[in-house]
Amino acid sequence: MQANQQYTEITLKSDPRNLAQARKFVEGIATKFGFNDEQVFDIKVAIGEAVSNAIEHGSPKGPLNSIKITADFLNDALELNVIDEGVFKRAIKVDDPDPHHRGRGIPFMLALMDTVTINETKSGTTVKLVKKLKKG
Amino acid sequence: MEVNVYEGLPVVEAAGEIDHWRAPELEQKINEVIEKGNNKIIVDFSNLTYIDSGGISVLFLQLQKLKSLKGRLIVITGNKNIIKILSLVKITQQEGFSLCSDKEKVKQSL
Repeated sequence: MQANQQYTEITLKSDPRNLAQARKFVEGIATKFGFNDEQVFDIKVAIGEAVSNAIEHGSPKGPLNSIKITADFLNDALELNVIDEGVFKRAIKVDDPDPHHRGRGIPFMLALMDTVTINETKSGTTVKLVKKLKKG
Repeated sequence: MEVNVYEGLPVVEAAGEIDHWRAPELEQKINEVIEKGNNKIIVDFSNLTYIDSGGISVLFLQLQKLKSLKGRLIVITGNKNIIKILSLVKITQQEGFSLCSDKEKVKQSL
């Protein structure tokens, strides 16, 4: 990752108790770059889903694994990356009424962000979330 | 999370944020209310500012239980972000589910 003035990152232990900290991290950044309350909410849900998936499926050693979140602001868009150490979960439809399905995370990300890219490698999964800043 | 009573119905009050970490607490509170013989339950999200797919899955699960008991799940929220998430998953279109903007609207819908 090429560093620039806007680049920030945080590394958290893979523990669901850290979800709130992940949300707080992106909330501060998104607010700083001028996203409105509704957009900040969308970004918080998307990062929450990405980090939840990373905790549940991308952490073969549980809390011993780490999750890195990077944030960058380029070309009027916030780009977030959630980087874990495991394999991602298959998606189901966001409005699937089956209550036993817990895989609504990816559809939530797709519905709330402009671009979602999932890149799986042998060493882990990176979820890239992009939200454009719509002014006015 | 507290459980209160409004118009004779149990009200599970869930404030703040419900994520994958807190969702099991919501599931347990609603379970306790169902186990006491209730089939109509109000979940008060008036002071809720965040919900993710963990919380949504709990609502779908409990709605299914209440429907099998010929009951109803009534959610209170006026928060446009929470309403957007509920609408996105189309739980608002499910039989047995009601969305009310405040407690007074619940009274009218009973």
